[in-house]
Amino acid sequence: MLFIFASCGERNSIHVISREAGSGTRSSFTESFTLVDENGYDLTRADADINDSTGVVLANVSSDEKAVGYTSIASLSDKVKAVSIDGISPTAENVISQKYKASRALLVVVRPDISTEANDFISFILSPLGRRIINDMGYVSVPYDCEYKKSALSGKVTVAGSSSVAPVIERLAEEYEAISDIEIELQQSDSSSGIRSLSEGICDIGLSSRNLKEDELMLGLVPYEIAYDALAVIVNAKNPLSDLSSQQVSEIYKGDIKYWYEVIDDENS
Amino acid sequence: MTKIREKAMHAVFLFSACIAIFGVLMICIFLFAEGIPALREIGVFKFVFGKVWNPSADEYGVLPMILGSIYVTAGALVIGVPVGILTSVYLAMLCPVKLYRIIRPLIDILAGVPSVILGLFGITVVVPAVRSIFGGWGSSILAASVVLSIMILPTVISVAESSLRALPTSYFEGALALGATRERGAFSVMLPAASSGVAAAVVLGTGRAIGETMAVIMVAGNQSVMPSSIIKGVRTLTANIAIEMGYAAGLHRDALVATGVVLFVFILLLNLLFSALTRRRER
Repeated sequence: MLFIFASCGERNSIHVISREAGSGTRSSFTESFTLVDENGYDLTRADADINDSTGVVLANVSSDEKAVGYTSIASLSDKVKAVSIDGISPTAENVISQKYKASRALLVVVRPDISTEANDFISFILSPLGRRIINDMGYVSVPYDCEYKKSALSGKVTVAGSSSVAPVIERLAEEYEAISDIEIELQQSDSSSGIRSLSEGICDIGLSSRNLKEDELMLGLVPYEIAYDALAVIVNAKNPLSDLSSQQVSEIYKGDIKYWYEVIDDENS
Repeated sequence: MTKIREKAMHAVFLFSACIAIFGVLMICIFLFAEGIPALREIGVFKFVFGKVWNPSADEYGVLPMILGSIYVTAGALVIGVPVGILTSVYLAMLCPVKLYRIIRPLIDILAGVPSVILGLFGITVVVPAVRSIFGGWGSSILAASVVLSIMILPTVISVAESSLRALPTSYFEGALALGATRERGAFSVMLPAASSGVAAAVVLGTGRAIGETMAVIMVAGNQSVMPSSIIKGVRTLTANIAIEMGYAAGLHRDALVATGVVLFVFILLLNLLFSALTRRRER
């Protein structure tokens, strides 16, 4: 019986929710909160709940007052509360001004010998209309001096890469296909294989949620930052907590902080 | 002419039958060809009895997942089998016809519910309930067992019911004629007579539970650590493959295929048990 109810006393323990190893969201989270050691070893506590999609993380955090998780700010909803980190809340302004640290750029990558059709789509993405679509999705767009003029081109543009960028491109492609005769074909995989397909000429545009590596830049590939995505640390809406230091987030995920009373002081509640 | 057509059709039927066999063989060959080199590289003993699964440090021990699968499945059986068997007895012998016409289709609907829907039900109902009643984080062995027990109910009920119905009615009538009540006749005569069929129902249910992936991933927590309590999270063999396969390369990928080999051996053993049981029934 001891085995069965051994953990009944842990009613005030922090319910730590992480993503699966290998997920882009998890790797940018562990990088932002120093949860990797110098050998690249992930320090996240081994007994953290592993949820394999954003939706499941949100469902768990919104139903458990003791839960903590993380998600892209584009997926935030009213059902969960995003806490500020070191006093800075994960808003669009703070991400643009780079005050909020836990962010990453979403990139589209092209070859120097880009086709005119692909170029047309890129200029649509970077145009004010493209930026508005990106902002409407909850990401932070990057200002470019780019006007889009409807062209008479037709054909097909193949886009491949990161599943973190793909939803943005999918939405952009819908709007783009409505006003243009060019068809966008989107293949989701991950940043590395997207960039590889681009350099091998399998696709016209690659998608990446990480910066290009030295050897990828050597191939002459040109990256465009189209948006910033920030990772928000989320807690249940009923949780009195509103601010954590990045040190505390790190310790919670390492398992050094196990109970809420260790981070919620009287001032906070 | 007719003879040729006869022969041609023979070939068509034989070919169809061969496709299924071909499928099974290919899966076996693929699994063992891909998985055994990894098993050899990691070491069978270290792989099966290793307590740490940490691909980033090249540590591949699947014991936590083996135990995870066993615990979750055992939990599902503890809840699902008694309910399933009692239901099948009720449906086969005690239930009024009018009620049967309502219950039976509902059970068939339950059998058709996609597992991801059961997972959603688990995450919105079962997990919070486990959390508020038993404490802990909610996503746990218990939550996974409850969801799986619902999932195996239709299998257990249908197979057990049909094996009860396959018995000669004279057994039941004879018991009643000797003065037994309907309940006594059902439980003391019919159920023991159908025992091998009922056991087969349990084995089929076990196979369903141990192989389930989607619903389990959504409610079990998926921590690759040794399970310590039924209200703590756990990762099953199936979840281990499904969660990590998309990102795996090299030895990590081979280790996941080897995880599949372990799972496949479990399923093979269950199938052998199942055919042994049904053979006994035929004799």
